[in-house]
Amino acid sequence: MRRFSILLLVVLCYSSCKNDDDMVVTSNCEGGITYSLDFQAESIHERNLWLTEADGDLAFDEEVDALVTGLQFLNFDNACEDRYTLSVGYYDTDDNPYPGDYGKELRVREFAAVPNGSVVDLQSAGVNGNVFRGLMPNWLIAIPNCPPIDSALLQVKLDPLAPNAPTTPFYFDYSLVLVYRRSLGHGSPSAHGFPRCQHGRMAGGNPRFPSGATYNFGL
Amino acid sequence: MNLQSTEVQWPTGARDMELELHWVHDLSGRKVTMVGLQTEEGNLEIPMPAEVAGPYIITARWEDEYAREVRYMMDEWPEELNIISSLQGEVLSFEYPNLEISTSGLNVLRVDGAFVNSSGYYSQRQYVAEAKEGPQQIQFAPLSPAMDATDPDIKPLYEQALDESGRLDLYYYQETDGTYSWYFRNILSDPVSGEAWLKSLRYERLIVPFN
Repeated sequence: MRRFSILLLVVLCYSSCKNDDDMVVTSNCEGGITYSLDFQAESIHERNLWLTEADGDLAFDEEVDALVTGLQFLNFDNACEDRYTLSVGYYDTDDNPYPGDYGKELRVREFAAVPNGSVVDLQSAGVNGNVFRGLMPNWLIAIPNCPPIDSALLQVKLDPLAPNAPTTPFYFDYSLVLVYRRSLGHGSPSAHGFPRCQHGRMAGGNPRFPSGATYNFGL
Repeated sequence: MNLQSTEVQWPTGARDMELELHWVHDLSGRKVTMVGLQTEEGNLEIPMPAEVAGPYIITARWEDEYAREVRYMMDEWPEELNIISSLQGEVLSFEYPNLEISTSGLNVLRVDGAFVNSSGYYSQRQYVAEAKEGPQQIQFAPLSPAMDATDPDIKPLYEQALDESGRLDLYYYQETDGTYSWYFRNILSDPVSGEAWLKSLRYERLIVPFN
């Protein structure tokens, strides 16, 4: 037990030192304000969060621990301004159903002039704020912000009967919403959809559709 | 099934009109079901099972000079729908990372872009800011040096996502209290009640591509 405690202490010290090393602060004001944010994002890998001043200078740059879930608190001491541009980015190389062709995906969200004390909750915005994400009747699925498409593929993980099912877009409109018929894999409560939007070649993300109950509502 | 109908008035000059109807069947759980899509001109006529009752979300889309969208919340089925959008916006100049626009009538603006390079690597960016009346300068933030150091491919992907294909989305949220903080509290966060969530979905939107 004593050895375990010492080991735990060493791991915690290493972890905290590593986080300090990862943070880059290029602009600060001694005796300035503490700029604070409550922040939450989807659990993703290699996530970075950085703050930029109004003139474009970087003020704060830190890798966010992807293993920490729920609301996180950002306190930036000696801040010069009470509003910063907040950028959140990740570079996803894992969990890709098409690793041969689509090994790298960069996603960045940027919010200009975020007031001190704001809550930026990307996870709730993604899950609850978008009325169009989710399952609709007749096994239709809507994907917001889909790039222009010619056709689409659906891969359903954990469903051996439908490893890579081609499907046809139901409609496509200028607002870049793709709706397609999801006809396979609906029986598996743990299935994850990996829809891809195509325009000449495949591109796009792999939104995780909620499994279980949300697959069952409808008329 | 009951045939529900609504007399629809579209703005003058509208084309490619489309109406999409969702039924909020669980307000506290924020669950909606799509119950109709009408892509032909004319009044809205949708057969619906008797158990479908309000609230309803009606999304109207059409094109004039640009693409437009208005989303309405209705507690009861409307007999008439007069679709109006007064948002104005144009791109004055763009040379990455600087974008100059001029807008009127909105409170939040968003810029979206995506890019696929010749190796199939993909990037997607989204920028959100408080909108100002009249001309507005936007300067997109530089990439995080820590991220840049992880891979030589990342900086071109980051910049070209907006440089190659940008789209300006202009929003007017009707429920706003006039502050940018409202957007963070109600659109980017988790509103306390289903009612607050439902109100936050009311908006007008104008879409302006800029490259």
